[in-house]
Amino acid sequence: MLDLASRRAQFVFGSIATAIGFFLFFPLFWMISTSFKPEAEVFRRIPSPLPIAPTIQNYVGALTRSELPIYLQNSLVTAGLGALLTTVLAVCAAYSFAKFAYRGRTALMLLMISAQMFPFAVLLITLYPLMDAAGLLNTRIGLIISYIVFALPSGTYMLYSYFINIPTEVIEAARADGASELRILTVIVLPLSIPGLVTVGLYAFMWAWNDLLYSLTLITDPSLRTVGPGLLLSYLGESRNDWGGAMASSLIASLPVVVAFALVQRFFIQGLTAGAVKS
Amino acid sequence: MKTTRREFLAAASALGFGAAAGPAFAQQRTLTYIGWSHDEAASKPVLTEMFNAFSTANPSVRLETIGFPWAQMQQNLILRMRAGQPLDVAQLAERWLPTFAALNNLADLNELFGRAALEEKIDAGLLRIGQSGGKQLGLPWTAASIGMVANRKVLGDAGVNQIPTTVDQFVGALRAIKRSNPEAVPYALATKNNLSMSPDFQVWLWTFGGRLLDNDGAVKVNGEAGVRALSFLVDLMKENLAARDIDRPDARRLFGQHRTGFYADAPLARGFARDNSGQGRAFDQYVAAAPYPVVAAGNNPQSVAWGHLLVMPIIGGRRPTRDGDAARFVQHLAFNDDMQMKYFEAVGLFPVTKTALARVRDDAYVTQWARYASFAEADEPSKWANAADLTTIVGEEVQAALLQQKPPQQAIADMARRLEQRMRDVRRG
Amino acid sequence: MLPLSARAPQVGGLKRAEARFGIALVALPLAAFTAVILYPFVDALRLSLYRYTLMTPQPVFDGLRNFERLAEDGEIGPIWVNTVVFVVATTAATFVLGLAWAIILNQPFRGRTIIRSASLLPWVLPSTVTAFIWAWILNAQYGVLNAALLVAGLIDEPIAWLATPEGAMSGVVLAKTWLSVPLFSAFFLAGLQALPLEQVEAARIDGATNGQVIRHVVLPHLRTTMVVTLVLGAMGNLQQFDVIYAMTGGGPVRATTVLSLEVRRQAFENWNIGLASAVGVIWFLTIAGPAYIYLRSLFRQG
Repeated sequence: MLDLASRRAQFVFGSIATAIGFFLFFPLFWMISTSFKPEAEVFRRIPSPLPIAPTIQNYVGALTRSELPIYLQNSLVTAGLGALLTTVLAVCAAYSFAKFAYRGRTALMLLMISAQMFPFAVLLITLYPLMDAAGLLNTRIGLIISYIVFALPSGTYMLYSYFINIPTEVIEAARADGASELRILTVIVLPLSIPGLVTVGLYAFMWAWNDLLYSLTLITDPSLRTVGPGLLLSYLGESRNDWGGAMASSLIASLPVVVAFALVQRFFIQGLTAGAVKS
Repeated sequence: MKTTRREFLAAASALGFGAAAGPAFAQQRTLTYIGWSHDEAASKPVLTEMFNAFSTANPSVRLETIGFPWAQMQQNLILRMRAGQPLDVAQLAERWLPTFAALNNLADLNELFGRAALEEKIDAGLLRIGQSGGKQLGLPWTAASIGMVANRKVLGDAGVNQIPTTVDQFVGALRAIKRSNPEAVPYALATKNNLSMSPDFQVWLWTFGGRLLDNDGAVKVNGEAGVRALSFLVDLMKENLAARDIDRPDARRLFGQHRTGFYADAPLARGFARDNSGQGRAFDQYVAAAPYPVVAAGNNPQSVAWGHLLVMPIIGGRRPTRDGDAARFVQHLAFNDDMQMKYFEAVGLFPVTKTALARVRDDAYVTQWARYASFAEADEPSKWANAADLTTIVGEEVQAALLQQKPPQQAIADMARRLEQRMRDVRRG
Repeated sequence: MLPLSARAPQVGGLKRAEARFGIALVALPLAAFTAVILYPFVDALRLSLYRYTLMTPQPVFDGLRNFERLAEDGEIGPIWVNTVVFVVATTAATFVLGLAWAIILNQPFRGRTIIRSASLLPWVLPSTVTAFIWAWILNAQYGVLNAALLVAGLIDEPIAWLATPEGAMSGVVLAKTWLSVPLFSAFFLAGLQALPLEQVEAARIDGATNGQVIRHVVLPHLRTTMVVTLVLGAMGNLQQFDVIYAMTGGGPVRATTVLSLEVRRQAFENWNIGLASAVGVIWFLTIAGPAYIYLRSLFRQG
């Protein structure tokens, strides 16, 4: 697209690329480098770029001394099930909005989609006593249910834009063949929407996985803590200065999702951008 | 889901399935304790030992201990109590008591143990830090003051051979430290966390003759003493004798590395120094209890009364009983001289029982500390139920001045105005 | 972006049974939505008119007193400004860097596939991790930024970045920008890949320079993507809590306290639910205007 034949163009392009690349990747490099440094090397006014005497002590400490494995497990369970719940609900709502006509449909859709704008922290004010009344405070189930807040409205919209593109003729033909409505949804519509489903699922997962606000407030039992508050509370107190340990823990905490993401990112980008780019 | 599992197990054992899981398991009762000290590296080993001693002596009780960082403790404890989570015994800072008393679900220990029995064990004066609204809601576990700690090596290297007692001598010592080691933070004044800045500022305020509030809650800070105290601290910052971004943990670390001359802490400063320096007891020789400097020689050195309490919340209508597990656990920690001494030996926290106190009289660090602590005053916001709010206001305005966002006069005026607004609300009921 | 009303099914052409299935389908999500999102939202707005603290077991109607208190305290103004500064700075920085990075990744070069995948990394890290990494880079005593500046001779004394109001705000903007550039550039990259090459070639034949190609061909083509990205990005930044809370806790002296942090602080640290709700109302009013315009454009398209 760009013409990089001239020296000047190459220079400008190269400098901008290097600068942004450095901004994006240096922090990652620094996290990895610090995580392999012994304490004496971490606390230096002028640190060396790479560990001089690399050690895995920080990793051993992160895995044995802290509850990190438990936090990870909790995060994967709550974010995973939260994303699943969000996707199922969003599929139902979006398919109904896209392919069925009934009174109040547009108003309902407008209401659900505009809820993207409701401030999450404000919802928490009432969600907290609500969960309390339902006996779901400090439970994984309560957290999973709360996580639909993050992505149900936008997920419904994303899937709506997927479903609306599926030709109604295909559905009509299946109906003519005598297929039940449920069968049409599961056998015809959903397989055609896999990138959309993956997108909404991942989008919801990322919100829940990143969450600190809800889990910090709704969960008080250390054995139920997720990664965000778990890391924060581990390194906020007296051990706040253990940067080697914090970086090693951070790296471990990031790995599962990095791997999972590498597997599905192709779908994801495709799905996420479909609505935005087609027009 | 944990709760559901617990409920399920309870239901299962009620139905007679419990026997299948083994008799010991079926009979074990869970005792939940929440605190912050056992979460801190310095006190962790000794507290684990003390907890284990309790478990050994009470095989039918399964002790579950939960830890939060100190700065997050109060907030999380309220969250947990509001959620009705199991909780039998909790560790409180003495200054949080009014807030928790307002929740109206702490057991009165006078009813539980009897007033006379308590006073026989612990001095009536000490018991006061656990009282609120005429009830003994908290049992003192350790009590002393937040006073000044000095690093003898840093002072010695700077040629300061006498621990300063007046403000002028103090500033002189700080300058000497800065000259001898430009990278040092001569006085690690709290400049980051409201919870630490508020008490640090109050001691200086009292030193210069001021008060935040009077006994009826009228705001008194807006006066000459307030401005003088805050200006004094701001000048220390300007002269690089104190630094930005310092909280208690940072100060303790600097102290253990011989990079600060003074900071304010409770007597467990010595325990932290042992731990942070990596030298253990060998470091004790450098740790000195120092008086907060006074304006004129002969004045009493100020400090903030400080202590840890053990409280027994009533959760879901479950009232602790006199010989219940919670009561026995509390007595194990606070009444048992062996445990009290063990805790003292390990981290330097003062015991509370009369008999254990008699045994530590020979320790110079303790006697020094106790002498300065005899003038200690209660943290001012603590008396009021909205203490958290008041502490935030004091901390924020102090920090604004220290970071030179506004002149001390204005910070004090703003502090007074904001405190007045909040106190009006309190008095409105 | 798809118009919401596009290709709406015809009511007359549908049998009753189908409509019933449609309603049955929407029932469950609607119930969940009402219980977990709509009701809490409406109720929180209602509570702004009540006095409801740790000491009042039941909310007591208090008129507009919470809003008066906010006005008297004078804290909400600076917090609102902080929020606007954070949202505008972060969204703008992310937009520019994301667009530039997408144009770069759209050029053919060796290792492009790897770089494209790796570029998503900052986005998938937990936000606490992002906060840790940046807090460590900006650390006053041992941070690598100070080290680099000291070595380069640009400063003589280490700077406590996160201890100054400007430094702390720049720090959280930087961290959040780092976190979101990958997502923005993924959006733009997808848009660029749909750009017909003939348009670029046609412009080249007319003698257009790189700058002119970007200005007259690429940017107009990305117009829709840019609008969507900007709106979604700004809304996400307005909701931001995690990175700021973990990095600065809103300090020093509330310099990085944005509306989300203030709501949580009032609600769950001071236990002043009424006041927290009042802050929430102000927050909602802030977002309602732009949101209305955005939603209307969604519905009017096509």
